Amino acid sequence: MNGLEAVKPGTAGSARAAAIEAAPGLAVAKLELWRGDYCVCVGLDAAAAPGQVLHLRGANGAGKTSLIRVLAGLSLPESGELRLWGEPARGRMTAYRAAICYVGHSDGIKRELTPEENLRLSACLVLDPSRRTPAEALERVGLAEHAGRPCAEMSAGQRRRTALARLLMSNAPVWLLDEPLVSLDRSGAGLVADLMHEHVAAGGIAVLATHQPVDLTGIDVVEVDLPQGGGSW
Amino acid sequence: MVRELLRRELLIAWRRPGEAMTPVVFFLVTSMLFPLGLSPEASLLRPLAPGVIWVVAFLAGMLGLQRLFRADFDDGTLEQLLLSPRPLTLIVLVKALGHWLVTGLPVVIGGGVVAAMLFVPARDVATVIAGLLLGTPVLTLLGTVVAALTVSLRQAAVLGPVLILPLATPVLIFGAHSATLAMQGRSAAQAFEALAAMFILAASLLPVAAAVALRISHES
Repeated sequence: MNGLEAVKPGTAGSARAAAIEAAPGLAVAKLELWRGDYCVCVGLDAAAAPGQVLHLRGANGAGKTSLIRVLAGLSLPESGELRLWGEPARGRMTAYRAAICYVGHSDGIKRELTPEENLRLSACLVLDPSRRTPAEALERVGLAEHAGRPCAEMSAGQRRRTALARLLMSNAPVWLLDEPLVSLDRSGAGLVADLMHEHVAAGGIAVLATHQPVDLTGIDVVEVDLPQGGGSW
Repeated sequence: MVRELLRRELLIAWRRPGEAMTPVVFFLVTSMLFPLGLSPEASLLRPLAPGVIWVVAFLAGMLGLQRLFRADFDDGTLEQLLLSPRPLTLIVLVKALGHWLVTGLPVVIGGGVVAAMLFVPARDVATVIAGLLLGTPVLTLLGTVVAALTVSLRQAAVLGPVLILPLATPVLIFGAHSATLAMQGRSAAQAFEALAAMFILAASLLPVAAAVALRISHES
């Protein structure tokens, strides 16, 4: 799916637009997004149904982070619509925020606090927390022994794992992962793949922005390619 | 949620005491310079005391302002707060309360010490403290809006105080005036009523403004 490929209403594109209309998952329709004077995409249509992964691909600077920030509702696109379960997100942002869990470029971890304290706060910021305790979530990401250590003393990879543990603290059906593999080791990359497999198997949706290979075998992946620098005019 | 968030704010301040202590240390040290620089005479210092205390308290409040959202912005926790389905206005209000408890309350208490040092009569020290108790939260709340507006700007250290100064002048005027009136043996009730009105307005409106400002400054 090319970001420059504008969908003209009433032509061949409309069949795809209609399919997106009907898709009961996360969808963007006719999205136009600029970052400064760089055009990330025009007329982008993309959708992921429950059980699918939306994989945003593109070189550095192609606009993956800008796009995923739009999906998170952190920034607004120039035009286009963001939909969840077929309904526009605009005007229903509280419900939309309740449905997503975002692990961004920066970890969102307080270095003064321990992983456990960080997760306890994350759990109380969501409306629908999972039944897991912070200790269980940390054990799942392999940090059980470090639960009581300030995050400032941990490595970048361990902080990343703490950020990923946040995904386990909520029941949000939509995961937005921006470069989740940064500073993770090989077992960390396996952990991300495992978590995504479990999430998708449970009927969740995951949006993954990365140019690094993730083992997604067996998952229904929707690829979105952002053109390299081609959108600037 | 409120309790957990407030606990977090206080815990972070507790683990970083240097940063949290800066405003009150600045307040005490700067106030002490006045007797040294002017003259240690009671007749000179006493009438100046309310003005000195309020101006220095205002400047001390400016010092810690950037701390309010900047650290959260840098490590990405602000994103997480913005993405929460919980009301952002409430989150901002709790953060402002935490900030005031850490930086404002010590200045209020220090204000009593400085007042005594500047020869304010013992019976009027309580008036000074009461004025600060009503006025400093207003300064913190004004600071919350400005800090939210400038959180994504790198060079905001100077911009903040410049933006906040015109908004804070009524608090400064009525705050200092309340103590002066009391020291002259007149009723400070009207000055306190004005301060209380400003406090109520600030507490009810400014968290909303700060929440909107945070969303806007995070959009780009």
